[in-house]
Amino acid sequence: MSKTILELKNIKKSFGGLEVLKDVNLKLEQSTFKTIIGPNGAGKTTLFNLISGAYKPTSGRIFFNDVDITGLKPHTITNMGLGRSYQMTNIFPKLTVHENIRIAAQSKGTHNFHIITNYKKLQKYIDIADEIIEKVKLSGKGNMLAVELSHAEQRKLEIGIQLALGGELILLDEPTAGISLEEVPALIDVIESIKNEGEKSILMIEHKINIIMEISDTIAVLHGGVIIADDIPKKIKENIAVQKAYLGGGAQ
Amino acid sequence: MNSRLMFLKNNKNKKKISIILLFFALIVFPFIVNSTYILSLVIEMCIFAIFALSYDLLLGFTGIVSFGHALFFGLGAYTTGILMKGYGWAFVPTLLPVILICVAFGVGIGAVTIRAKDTYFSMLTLAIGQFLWVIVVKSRVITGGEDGYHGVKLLFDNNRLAIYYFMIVVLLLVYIFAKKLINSPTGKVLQAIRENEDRAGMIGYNVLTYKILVILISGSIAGIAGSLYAVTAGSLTPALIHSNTTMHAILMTVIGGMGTLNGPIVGAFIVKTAEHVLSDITQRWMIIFGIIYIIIVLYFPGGITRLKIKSNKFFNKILRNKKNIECFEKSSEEA
Ligand SMILES: Nc1ncnc2c1ncn2[C@@H]1O[C@H](COP(=O)(O)OP(=O)(O)O)[C@@H](O)[C@H]1O
Ligand SMILES: [Mg+2]
Repeated sequence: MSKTILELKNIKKSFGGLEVLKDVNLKLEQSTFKTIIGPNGAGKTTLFNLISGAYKPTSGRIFFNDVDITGLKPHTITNMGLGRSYQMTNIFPKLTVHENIRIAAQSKGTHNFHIITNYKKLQKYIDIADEIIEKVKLSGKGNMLAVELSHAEQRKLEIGIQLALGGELILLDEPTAGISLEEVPALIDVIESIKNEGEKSILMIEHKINIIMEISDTIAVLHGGVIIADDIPKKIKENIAVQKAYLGGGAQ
Repeated sequence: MNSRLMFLKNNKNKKKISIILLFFALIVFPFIVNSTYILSLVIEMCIFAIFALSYDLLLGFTGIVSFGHALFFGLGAYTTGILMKGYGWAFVPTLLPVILICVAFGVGIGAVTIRAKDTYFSMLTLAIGQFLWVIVVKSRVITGGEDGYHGVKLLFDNNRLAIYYFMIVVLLLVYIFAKKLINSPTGKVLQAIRENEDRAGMIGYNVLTYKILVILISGSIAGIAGSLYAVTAGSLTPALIHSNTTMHAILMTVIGGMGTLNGPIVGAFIVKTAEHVLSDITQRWMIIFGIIYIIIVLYFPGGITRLKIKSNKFFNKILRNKKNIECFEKSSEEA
């Protein structure tokens, strides 16, 4: 029997007079991959901001592993095992690739307030970083500064930071946005290999329809402030209402 | 691989040798110059190097721009001065209340100001620093007000040679502590906060706690520098707390190179030397500093110590093959 890892109940979010999310209900089963699609400005990123604790919902509740996390601080939510990446690249620019990941791994440990111990003595976090660098296919780039990486590599690094946090649930906001077409497959490879390991539940926002169809277990469509469809990719493709709303009436 | 290891070893040897030479030079220095004036100058340099070093922990390693750092220096100086002259304490025991007071102020200031971001935070620290300055000026009975607080008993009966060696040792100890701190897990978090504060929060660090921690650590070190000032100068004036004193720390840190630890020490020595040389020539030496400061910020934002590393790299490029340079860079990266 599968277990629900994330559940949104009657989520509403307004900015001043602007009601972006009207009544969002969404469930993600453990170890599955769900993609959220919807037109620009539909409120997808806002939804992520609510889940990760950056914003508070106007009303409604968010449950992570059956625990109500509504209104908790971002770092508290992260520490509970829910990590996110950002639509804009969000890394530590002038730290090395290795250190970007190592510092994330360290945050899960018990050594954060050791002010005299040399960080190199804590082999555990160094090993985790080495391992994840391989996983996100940044081998050989560990000693480069994050700022020196290509855009796609920075995206991989972000995913690496999330993996280092060891969370069960990963949120990916448009991972392929702004990345050159040649680099997209390598990035998708990374995401796919994480999915195939089967340990993580993943919620992704993405526009590139052919990628989504292949990689997602389910697809949810956000439109007009509500989820108008949530189903397996094949069914979504057939859903005419969706085509009207999102795909622009027969674009696919 | 073998040649790589050899080179690393050589590099380490070189480092060891230059450290030993430096020590030797520092030991014989007083006998070579044989001048109380110059010894006093070096003593003052050491005190300000400690102060600037504490500022670098904020500015260079955590990215906190404080305009009120001198208040810790002043707190240390006045606490030690008043306890010694007013209450007959010996010097060393005063360091305990100095640290306690600086920690208390660090936590208080941190909690009050640090939710304010960037510019607002800096402005608040300026306001708090100047507020304390006003208090010291107005509390005539306790602090002597604008006339200053005079007659603090000098360290080692003002034996400048003994004070000189003592300062070198204290500076070294503070340097070692700071170096350990920045290479510790906590120090690494501070650097992550400097790079991307929001992200550091997102990966699970409570940024506020770390900022308060670094403020109270650097504040305590600044307080100790102030205490040392009290027992070597003997006279204290409210100017010690004034934002001008903070500006000195900023100047030293930026000129020397922020985020390096060596930088603020070099910066303190340069600024203090230049201050003494220039102030003999002109009253307007601060203007000259202003200009140097602007040039460095615009053209050498890494500061003087990084300039040296760069030219070192340049010569290495000419002299050695590329593999070895990578080795050198790796070893020099370990700040
Ligand atoms: N912090 C905010 N303040 C005001 N309006 C916001 C804020 N964040 C998002 N919005 C608005 O909410 C709407 C949805 O934005 P967003 O969630 O970024 O859409 P999407 O990611 O689906 O393209 C937009 O109209 C946007 O202007
Ligand atoms: Mg978006």
